[in-house]
Amino acid sequence: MIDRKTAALSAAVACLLGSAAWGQGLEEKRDQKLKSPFLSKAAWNTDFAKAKEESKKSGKAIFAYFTRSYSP
Amino acid sequence: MEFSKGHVLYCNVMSQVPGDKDQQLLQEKGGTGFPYLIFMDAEGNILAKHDGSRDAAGFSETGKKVSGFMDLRKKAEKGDKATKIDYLIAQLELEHVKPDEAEKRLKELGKPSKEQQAKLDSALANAAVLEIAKSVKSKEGVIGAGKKYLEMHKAKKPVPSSERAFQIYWIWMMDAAEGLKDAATYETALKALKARFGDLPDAQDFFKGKEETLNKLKADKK
Repeated sequence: MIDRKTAALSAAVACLLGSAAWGQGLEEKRDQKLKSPFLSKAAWNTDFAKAKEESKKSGKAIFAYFTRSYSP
Repeated sequence: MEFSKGHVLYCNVMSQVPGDKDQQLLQEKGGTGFPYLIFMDAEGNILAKHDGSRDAAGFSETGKKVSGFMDLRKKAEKGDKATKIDYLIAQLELEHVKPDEAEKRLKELGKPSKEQQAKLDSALANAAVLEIAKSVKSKEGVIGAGKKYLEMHKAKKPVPSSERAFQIYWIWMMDAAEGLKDAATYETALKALKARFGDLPDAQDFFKGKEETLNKLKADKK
């Protein structure tokens, strides 16, 4: 019979492992999204601070495309 | 691509990956769904939301308005009164100011030229329609807004010219007219929409449905 402490520890480890696997899946999905045809046609900044810096230097407006990768 | 040369392209991917930057930015910038397309200045202030076609031509059209706006902003900040009127028109067109605020500011800026007055009338008409539409959250709200547009039409106020405002104005007026069993207004609104969009292949089913409704309204009148 498993005691409460062991059960809690197992659940915590399972959560950690589960979230690690979930995190890997999310990273892959993000990287896939960044390689999509729409984004491959031009050079997109993915760092907002750098985009603002570039906008300040060049005087050009920022065109921002918000999308998601974690689900369709 | 010309558009990409004239703008700083920024892509924000909501990834839910721990540690990824700017995951809160969508919410900060007023986005509630995907994709969300906006133009910003170097400080991150929203200059315009893109709601036109999602292709290079559509982006370029909004991009041109934004570039024009930024140029006018620079000149207006230097104090030129005539440019300040053009800047006010641009602010109206990009929904940065409400119609009543614009009319107040115009009093301080002097008399617009004939050309500016025509642009102002058009921008004010568009802004008035979109301002009413913003507060609509339900079907009942649509009917209420449609009735307001009907009153504006009866008062011979200028008809909005921008594609979005034009559609909202006439379609919601039709919805209100249907509820009021007002076949004449329904027909006027339908004619206006057909004159502008009647040739679009994607709009044919829409117009077919509206014609059927008009015929029913006319039949019920007899």
